[in-house]
Amino acid sequence: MAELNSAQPQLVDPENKPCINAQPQLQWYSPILMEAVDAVSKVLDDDNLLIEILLCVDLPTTLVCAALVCKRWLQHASDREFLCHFRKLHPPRLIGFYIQEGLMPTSPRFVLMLPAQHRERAAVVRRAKFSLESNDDSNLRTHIMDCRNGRVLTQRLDGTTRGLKVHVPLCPQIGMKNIPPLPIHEPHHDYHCGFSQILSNEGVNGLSYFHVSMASSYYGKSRVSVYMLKDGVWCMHTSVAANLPPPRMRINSVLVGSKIYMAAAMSDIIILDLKTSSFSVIQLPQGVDYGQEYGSSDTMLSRADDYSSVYLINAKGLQLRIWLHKGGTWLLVDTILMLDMFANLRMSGFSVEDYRSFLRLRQVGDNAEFVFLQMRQCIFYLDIKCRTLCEVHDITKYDGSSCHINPLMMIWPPTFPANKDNPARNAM
Amino acid sequence: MATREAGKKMIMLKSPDGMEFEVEEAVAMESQTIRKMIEDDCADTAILIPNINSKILSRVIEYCNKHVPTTGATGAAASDTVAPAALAEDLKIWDAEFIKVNRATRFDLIQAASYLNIKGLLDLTSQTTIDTISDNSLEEIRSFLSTKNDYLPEEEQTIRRENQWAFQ
Repeated sequence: MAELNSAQPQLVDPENKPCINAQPQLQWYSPILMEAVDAVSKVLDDDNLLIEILLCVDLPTTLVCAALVCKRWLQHASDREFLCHFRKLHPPRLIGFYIQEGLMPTSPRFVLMLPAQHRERAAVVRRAKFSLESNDDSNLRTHIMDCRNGRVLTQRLDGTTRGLKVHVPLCPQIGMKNIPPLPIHEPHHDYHCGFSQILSNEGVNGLSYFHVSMASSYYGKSRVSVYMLKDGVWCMHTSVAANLPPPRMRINSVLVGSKIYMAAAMSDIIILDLKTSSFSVIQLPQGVDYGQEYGSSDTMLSRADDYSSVYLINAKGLQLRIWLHKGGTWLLVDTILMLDMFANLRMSGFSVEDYRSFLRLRQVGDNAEFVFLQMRQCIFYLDIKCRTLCEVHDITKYDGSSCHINPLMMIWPPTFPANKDNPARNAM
Repeated sequence: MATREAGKKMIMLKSPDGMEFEVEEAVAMESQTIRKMIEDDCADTAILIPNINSKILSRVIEYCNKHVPTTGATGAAASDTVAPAALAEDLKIWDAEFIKVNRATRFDLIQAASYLNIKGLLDLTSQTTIDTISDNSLEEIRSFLSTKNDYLPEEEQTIRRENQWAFQ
C-alpha cells in the first residue's frame, strides 16, 4: 500500500490523530508528497467519485468554478443528467422579489431575501443591479410581464411604444435587450378580449417567450392565439377557435412543457397543447372552485419540475391546500394550517383571526416550493417544504389594494460551451 | 483489542497490511458494504477489507463508532438528558475535528467511504473538498487537486464571460 511504503511519521502521529500542522496548505508539489498526489488522483480519476464530489457543490456559482478546473470536470458539470440531478438536490435559490404596489401599480421595487450569511450573497450583491429603471425614462412606469431564471421581462407603460425589455439583474454588464411590442390583435366585432399573458420556458438558447391571448365571442366561441418570440420577432405559433368555457382574468396561466394551462369558468382548466394545437378541459379537484373574483378564496397554478404536471394552490380562509395534477388525476399533496404558522411567527400586536378574510395568495414558486401571501399591508413568504413563514415586506402606503410580486431566482443552468447548443437543455 | 461488554456481537475487520480490528457488529454495519455481507451471511467472523490500509481503516472505524446510533456503544453521548439537537451539534463539531487531516488522508478516506459505502463519511469528505473549491482561487484549487489546466486562455475566458454572475 502506498500509505505504508512511504510512511511519513512527521505527518501522522502514532495514535492516528490528524496532524493539523502537517504542511502549510497549497504547497503540494513537493516530491515527498507524491503519495498525496496519488491519493488524490485515485479519487478524482474515478468518474463516479468525481460526480459524487461535484454533487456536493450546493451553489451554481461554485459549480461554475469547479467546471473551470479542467475540461474533464467541465464535461461532467455540463452533462445533462448531472445537471438534472444537481438541480433536484440543489434547486435554484430565491434571491428576492420585485413588488409593485397600489391600485395604479408603482414601478417595481426589489426586496433582497438572501440571508446575510449566505455565501452567494456577496457575489450577487456586488454585481447585481436590481433596479429596472433606466436613466432616460425614469418617469415612465415599468410593469413586469415575466420573471424567470434570473431574467426579468418588463413593459414600459408610456402609452406609445409599449416596448419590452429583458433585464438580467445579476449580470448588469450584459445590458438590457429590447424586444418588439406585443402583437396587437385586430379587434373583431364578435369577440371581446379575455385575457393575455406572457409565458416563458427554458429553451435551447436560454428562455423562450410566448404570448398567449384569449378572446371570447358572445356566442361561446373563443379564440386562443399564441405567439412565440423567435430571433427577436413575435411569430404566430398557434391560433385556434373552439367552444371553451370563459377564461378567468385574475388567475395565472402556466406553461408546462408544451402545454398551456388556463383557468376558466368556476372550476375548469383549459389545456392547450402547442404541439397539436388542440384543447382539452379538466376540472378542479372535487369541492374546489375559483370562487368570486374578489372572494375569500384564491387559486394559483404552479408548474412542476417534471415538465408534465401542474400544481394547484388554493388559499381559503387560513388554510392552504396544494394539489398535483399528474396522470389525469388530482392528488392532494399538502395542507397547511396558516393559523399554526402564524402562531409560530409570534407577531406582536397582530391578531390573525381578525384578518382571516384578508389572507391572499400573491405568487407561487415553480414546483409549489413557496408562496407569497398578503395580509393587509404585510407580505409573507412561506417556504412550503421547510414549513417556515416569515414577514418579508411591509407595504408603506397600503390602500387596501392588491400587489404584484415576481420572485427573482438564481440563474440556472450555467452557460457551458458543451451544453450551449445541446437541445437536451430544454429538459432542465 | 479493546474488550467490550458481554452480549454485543463482535466482528473482526482485517486490513491488507495485516492489522486486525475488533469492532461491534453494529459499528461495522455503518458500512452498507459490510452490512450487506453480514445480512447475506457472506461474512465470516473476520472480514478482509481490501484496498484500505490499517491507518485509514482505523480512522473509518473511529468515524463509525461515533456515528453508530447511540444505543449504548458511545455510552455517555446517548444519555437521556441530551436532546437530539444537541447530539447533532456535538456530532457536527466532532466531524469538523475529525476531517482536519492532510490531503492524502482525506482522499484516502473518500475512497474508503465510497468502497465501504458509508454515506455520512462520503458526504463529509466530499463536502470538505468542495469547501476547498469554494474558498480558494482557481490556481490554488488546481494545485490542491494536482490537476493540470488544459483550457486555452480564451476558452476559460468564454466560460467566465458567459457566467459572470458566478464570480465575485
